[in-house]
Amino acid sequence: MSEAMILPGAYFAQSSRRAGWLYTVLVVLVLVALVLNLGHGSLDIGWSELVRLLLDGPNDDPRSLVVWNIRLPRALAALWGGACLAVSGLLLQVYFRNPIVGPFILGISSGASLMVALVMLTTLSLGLAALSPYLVTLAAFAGSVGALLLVVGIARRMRQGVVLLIIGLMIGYLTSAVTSLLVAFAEAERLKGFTLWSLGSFSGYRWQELQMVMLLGGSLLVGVYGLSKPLNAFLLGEDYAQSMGVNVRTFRVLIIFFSCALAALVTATAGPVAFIGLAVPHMARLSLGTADNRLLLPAAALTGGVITVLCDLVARSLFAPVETPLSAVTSFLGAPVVILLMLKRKAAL
Amino acid sequence: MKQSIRLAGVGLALCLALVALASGPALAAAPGFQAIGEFSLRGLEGGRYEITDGLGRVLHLVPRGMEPPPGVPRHEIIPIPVKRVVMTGGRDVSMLLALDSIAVLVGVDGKTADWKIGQVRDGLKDGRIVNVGRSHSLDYELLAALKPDVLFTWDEAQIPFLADLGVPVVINYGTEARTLDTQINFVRFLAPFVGKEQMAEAYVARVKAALDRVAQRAKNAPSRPKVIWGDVWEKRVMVEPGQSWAAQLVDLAGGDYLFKDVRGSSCLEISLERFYSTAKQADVMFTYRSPESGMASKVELARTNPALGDTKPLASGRVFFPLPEYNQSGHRMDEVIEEIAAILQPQLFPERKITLFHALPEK
Repeated sequence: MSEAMILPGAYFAQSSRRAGWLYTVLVVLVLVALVLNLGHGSLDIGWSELVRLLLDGPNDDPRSLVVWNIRLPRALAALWGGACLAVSGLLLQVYFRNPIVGPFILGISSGASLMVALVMLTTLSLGLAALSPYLVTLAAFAGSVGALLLVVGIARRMRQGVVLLIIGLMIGYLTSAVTSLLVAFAEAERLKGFTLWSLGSFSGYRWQELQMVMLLGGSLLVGVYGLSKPLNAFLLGEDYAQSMGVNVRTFRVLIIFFSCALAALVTATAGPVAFIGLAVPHMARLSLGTADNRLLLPAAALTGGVITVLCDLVARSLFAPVETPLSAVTSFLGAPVVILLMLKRKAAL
Repeated sequence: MKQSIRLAGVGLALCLALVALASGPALAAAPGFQAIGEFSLRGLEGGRYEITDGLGRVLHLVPRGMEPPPGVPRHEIIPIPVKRVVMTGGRDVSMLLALDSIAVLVGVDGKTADWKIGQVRDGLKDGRIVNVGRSHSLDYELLAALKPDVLFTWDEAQIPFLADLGVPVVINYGTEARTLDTQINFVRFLAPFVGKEQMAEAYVARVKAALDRVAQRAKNAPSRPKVIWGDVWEKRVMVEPGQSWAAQLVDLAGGDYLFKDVRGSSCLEISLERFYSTAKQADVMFTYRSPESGMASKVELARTNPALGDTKPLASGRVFFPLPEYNQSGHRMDEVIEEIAAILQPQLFPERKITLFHALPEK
């Protein structure tokens, strides 16, 4: 447990000042990352032209379509998705009091993968053409929500977090087993699409999806922030939380619900994106020097957003026009940073 | 004295003639070094060959009855002509037809319904050919029981285990996509395995003649249609790299391939933005997405990825997909060339029937 716990008074004021600076830096970084993402791409669009295209609003000019329908939704989706994943990971790390837990540990991405495999690798999707182009997104959403409901249902009955963790892992193995069977018997041509989806990417994000993710994700993030005080109490142990008036049983279900819902939302629309949910909470925690969730949650969301937007930029620029898998970039760039931070400062929740 | 010199001269000439005669057949059996893309072939004395596969491994082709080179492990020695071959991948299997050697095939990947080559289907039905599983997960028990002289596969992970079983493995894919030149000449790489070098030469000559014919006619084309070759998925897009043989063929057949700058070993994902901006200019699109892989029409393809709905091929151009026979048509390469040319320049090749491709219906 960190010495920089949820202490009132002078310590909190000091942490708040530090957090204020960090938020300012992160907001600036968010803006810079968004501008870089909008200004950079396969199509050469100068800065002045970019400003003009943005001011003119969407129109039939192909360059306008590229900026408004491809670059902007993608950049905003990466920002929002990164924030959701980081907060999702943070919640689970607090819940399990385990620093190596990520948002997909409870089978969310495996559930999504199974449903996507069912529609992409089998003939189940035949006749569902009317649902296209949202078929895969809907399938992923159904899969992740299915896994979420299962995990929340189990969480309501379980008192021990570690049991839930093991059950979550088992759900992941079970769904992965079925997915592996589908992959083993799938035709090569169908496999291509599934492999692409499983690599995770914010490419091809549509405004409708973005609106849904911003609305639902925003509501969930606000809801999570509302839990930050009881989260701090929970960090000191369930008995302590209970003595502080927290209904632990309900609170546990709420944490699992919010965490899984945030992860499900991103996975449904972008596929599984690795690393962000696992490592960004550490980055935020170590940068802030506190485990106070009132300060940590916004920092994790902003850090997750910035890192994901920058990684997305690298993923599509490194070997342009060829796309590099986003999860490879997030892990490759992020893992050394976490190792360095960990070595520099002692890791704690 | 003069007579002695004359006799010495005649003697020398006879010696030279004898040396030439003695070395003649060996030289004839050693065609020297041939590089075929990432593959290579070196003819040695006594009809032996040293080959390099797609992974850069050196293997030895040794005529049956001849002593193998000393110190070379068993799994790196392939007795030729081969009598029992297991091969994965339809295109390379079909090359055995070009060499009139399909009879050596004892194992393939995939079930009867996956195969369009009559001899393979018949062989699978009557048991002469065995389905050894999927190319990425071969049934080693079946494979060991078949005792093949060699296995051709893309999967290098299978090499160590098969080495223990004593089965030589030739990796038939390199790190780069096969160029047109490599694709055509790959038959020369296969020929020494079955001892059909002359048939390989005849095949190469036939395909090159087709290429010349097509290139000659394509010169008269009033314009070169702009072409893309790729797959549209719900949010992502993939394209054939510019150095792939399919892309090069498009250029030779009178088209202008628009993803020449994209490099890779096979179809690969590019940014949606690049696909969109390039596809806006394209007249013709080839795609592997077909009714068999759940894509029945242009409207459906456009609906799959609405961002691309207004690109030229989907809105007003032409979209073609290869039929399943296409992936097993290595022996019909000349026809593939002519069919692509006929698709791109129909007015120049009115007589050519399209049998390996199909136009994606509008709705």
